[in-house]
Amino acid sequence: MRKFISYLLTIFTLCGFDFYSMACNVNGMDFAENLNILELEKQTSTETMLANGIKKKENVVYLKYNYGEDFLESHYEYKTVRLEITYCDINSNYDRVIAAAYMEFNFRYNSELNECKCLSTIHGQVCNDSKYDLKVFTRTKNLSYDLGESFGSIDFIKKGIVNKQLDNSDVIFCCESLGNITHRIQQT
Amino acid sequence: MKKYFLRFLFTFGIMCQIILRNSCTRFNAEEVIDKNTSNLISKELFLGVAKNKTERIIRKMIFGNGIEYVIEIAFSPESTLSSKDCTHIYRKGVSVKGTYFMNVSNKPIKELASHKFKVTFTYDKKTFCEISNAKEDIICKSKRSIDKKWKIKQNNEILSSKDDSVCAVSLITNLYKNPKFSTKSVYYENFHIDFRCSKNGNIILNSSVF
Repeated sequence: MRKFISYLLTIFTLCGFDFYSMACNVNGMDFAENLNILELEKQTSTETMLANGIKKKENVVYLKYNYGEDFLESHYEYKTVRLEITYCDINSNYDRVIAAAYMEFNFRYNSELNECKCLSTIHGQVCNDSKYDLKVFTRTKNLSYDLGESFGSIDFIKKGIVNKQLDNSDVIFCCESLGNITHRIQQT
Repeated sequence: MKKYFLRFLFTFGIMCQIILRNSCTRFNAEEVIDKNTSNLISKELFLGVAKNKTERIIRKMIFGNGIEYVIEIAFSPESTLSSKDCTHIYRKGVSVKGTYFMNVSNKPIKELASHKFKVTFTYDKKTFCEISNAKEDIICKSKRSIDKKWKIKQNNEILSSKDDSVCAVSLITNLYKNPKFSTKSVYYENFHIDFRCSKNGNIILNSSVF
């Protein structure tokens, strides 16, 4: 009986250690997740028709970060703009998505110091049809202290004996020191 | 004989359980590198506030041009220093290790360049938070690829508030490649992470990887 109890005790202590190590184990998703930090400021979407029955959809999302009262004194604020572009084939029955791309631009601004900067950019693309090719490029473009700018370019072509360019546009986002973001698209 | 056999079964069963559990829950950088996202490239929307925790975060960014970026962020625990007039001063650090990889189908993953960055904040939980000595509290290192073609340039700046209650350090990294037969570097990708620490020792991160 004593031995049985001692075995039980060892089992429970070992299991207890095991759960403790699992709880303390590195897991990025257990990190303090506070979705109230991110606020959706504005969202816009547009659709344009390209050649060869291709429809281009653009979604622009403006996000603002709120880090709480502890960090209000510093007056540095952050915004992110996310641009998602999808190309659909309207000739197919269900508007098949041929290719998709996204660009993200991160800005930091300070209204007191009249300063604004584009900190970084991210981009990604995927093409589901081998007949088409999609290239995306982004980078920061801070030409002055009080205006943060970012640059993105997208190039969508249909492959063939002679490649046909369906969409070639440059996207420029400008952020001023008060946090107002404007964007313009230049077709090249 | 029976007793010994039962004992053996008990211990063997327990050991198997523990080993299997630990192998499933262990989290290492190789798993992050092998993990692939869905066809439409997207990133997790994740933001966090670190309050007196010792944790490690690993994230991966996938760009559409085959370049991937794996970042490991570690928070060091709070340490206490006391001065002659018995006021307590605290220090806490954050270290970042980032690596760029080239992951193109049908080829093995190639490590391009890596960088390390460490910042230590000093605060008193009452009035101020600052970088007390920039030369010692900010450490910045980068490492080129083996073939010397890829390199990372790091720029950092210290931002402080008017009343010194919040201190921020901004890190921006740019990945460049030196093509063959050319000395001019070609820009590829960039990344930023802003570390902000309040007078109470709360650290937040703003980064393109979150």
